[in-house]
Amino acid sequence: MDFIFAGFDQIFHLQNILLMVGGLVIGIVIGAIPGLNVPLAVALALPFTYHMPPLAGLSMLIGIYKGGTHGGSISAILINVPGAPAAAATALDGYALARQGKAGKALKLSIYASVFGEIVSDIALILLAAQLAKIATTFGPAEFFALGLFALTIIGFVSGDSLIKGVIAGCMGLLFATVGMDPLESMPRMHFGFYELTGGLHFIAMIIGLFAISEALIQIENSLKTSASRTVIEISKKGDDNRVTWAEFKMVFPTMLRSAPLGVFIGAIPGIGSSIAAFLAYGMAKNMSKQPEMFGKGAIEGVAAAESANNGVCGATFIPLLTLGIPGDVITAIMLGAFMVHGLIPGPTLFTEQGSFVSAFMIGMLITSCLHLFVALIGLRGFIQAIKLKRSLLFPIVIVLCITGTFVAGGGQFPIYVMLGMGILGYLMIKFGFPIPPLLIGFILSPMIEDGLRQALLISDGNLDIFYGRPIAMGFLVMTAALVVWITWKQLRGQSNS
Amino acid sequence: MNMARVDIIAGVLLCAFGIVIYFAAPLTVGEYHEVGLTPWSFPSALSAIIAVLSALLGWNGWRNRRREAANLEADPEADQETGEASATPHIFAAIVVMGLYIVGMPLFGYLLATGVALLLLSIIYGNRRWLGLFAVAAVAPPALYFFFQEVMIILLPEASLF
Repeated sequence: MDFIFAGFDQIFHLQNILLMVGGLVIGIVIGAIPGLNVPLAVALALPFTYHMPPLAGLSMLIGIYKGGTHGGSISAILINVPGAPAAAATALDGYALARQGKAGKALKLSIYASVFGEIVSDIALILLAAQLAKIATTFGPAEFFALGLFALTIIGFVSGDSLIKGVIAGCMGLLFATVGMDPLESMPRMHFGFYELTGGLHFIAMIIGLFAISEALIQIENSLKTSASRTVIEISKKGDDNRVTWAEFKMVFPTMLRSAPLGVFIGAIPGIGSSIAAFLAYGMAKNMSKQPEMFGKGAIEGVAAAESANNGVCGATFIPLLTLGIPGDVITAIMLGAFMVHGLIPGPTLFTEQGSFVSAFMIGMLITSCLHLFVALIGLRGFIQAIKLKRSLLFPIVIVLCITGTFVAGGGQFPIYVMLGMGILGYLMIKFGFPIPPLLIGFILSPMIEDGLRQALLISDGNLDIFYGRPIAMGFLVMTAALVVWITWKQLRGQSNS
Repeated sequence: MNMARVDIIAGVLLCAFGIVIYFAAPLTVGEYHEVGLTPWSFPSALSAIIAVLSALLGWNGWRNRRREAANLEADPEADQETGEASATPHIFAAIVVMGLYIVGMPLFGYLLATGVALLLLSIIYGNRRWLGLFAVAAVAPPALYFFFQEVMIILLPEASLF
């Protein structure tokens, strides 16, 4: 318990609280706009946090993450276009409610359910992370190598239709991370004569290029294809249609109570993600409902289940991130980068060396969830207006922010060229059907895998027994092999079925 | 888009990339006498994997080309890429504007370069509401400039030409 209270005085600063609120507003607005997504928002905000104290910067990013995850439900409910993939489950009943004139009710219920899911998830993080980190402090290079390989199997889950393309993208990420200084010998490598590359590829430039610039280029196609404006369902003037009554809240509370832990469980497993959590919770709520026939026609349990599971993922994705240094999805991969940008390396050593910081960060997550309730309710009418913003107005500003942000974080012209190059690469990857998340995950895990392997082999004098003789390392290697076989089998079965 | 053709092109390009990096990786490191894993072992291994997997991808595409061609013959509308084809010049223009913006920032200063870039990018995105377009180009750069220079105390490029 002492560990948890250690960070209280660090987090309770006006600057941190204001940045959480700011992050929530930005996140909800961006999440609500179809075409803009949470990874893009976090990537775009990352350079702005570069010159802030670590806790302040990360507080803002957490606000964006949580706000953005919930913000997708606004457009899902009002225009039946999910702002984020996970909000597709919310759209099933949320839009039906909106068409019945109960948009206000659906939107408010989605806020309550999201915040409830977040709070459950944050509590799980606080209770479980320190315990898991204790186990992880016994890890040596062999365990980290095996863990890194195991974490790479996430690529199998985020590769989309083509596993081979996902693996190629992952290897590209691993390869890109080798540009710069060799970690063991401190010798420059893979710089190809560019002095600026001896420090490695600039992480912020890479993230902004891959996630923001590529998306901005893709949106040029979309803005030329569709010019029709979206019809936004207006909120009814009748009071009862705009609020969740106590009886309704009591009715959906058991659903939220079941869905949020499901989101936590799925969030704690790297690679699965909030979309699956939302749909699983939705299915579970439908199965357990007394009126399953109402699902899809405006059942409030449907909205509550999807949203509490969707946001229940948020805090839990930080369990593997903070304790083992493994990103659970693309957003936590970017967040991992944000930690590293601020000189913090997630993993067991973070708990031993920066215990009060970790504690402050986790309490900050809980505070952000509480603030989320007020920010979302107070700003609801404003956030609805965000859906009406046009791509042709937004994306030029996004591009300018990308370039300015990279200049600010990189401190020169070269990182901006890297960003542009990565943006073009990201665009080509999308056009050629290569998934981008594996590239980022490979890039982040590369040092853990390479350092672990080389250090382990140095310790053992080149003897591979160091991996077989240690139970945790061996366990990870066996799980990696089993997962690779399972993912490949699943992929081959899918191909033969199609 | 014909995915078989795309896979063949991507496979060939990435395979060539992998082979080049495999042989170039050791050349980027100076003299090294240690035994065991060298600084280029990991990059070389990865580039070899990329080359092999890309060859496999290209081969898969080659195998599927006849089936996709038959599918397209049955449904010719599936290969109509009107949106993409018409967007290509716009995307190319956007990349050129971004490149010029990056080069122009230290020459013309942040304010002027950002204003012009915003204007041109908005036109590329199909914005033809001229009043709003000029308003954004006039207001956004000073706002960003104020935020970074005055609030964050970070220097943005000043014009070196004048």
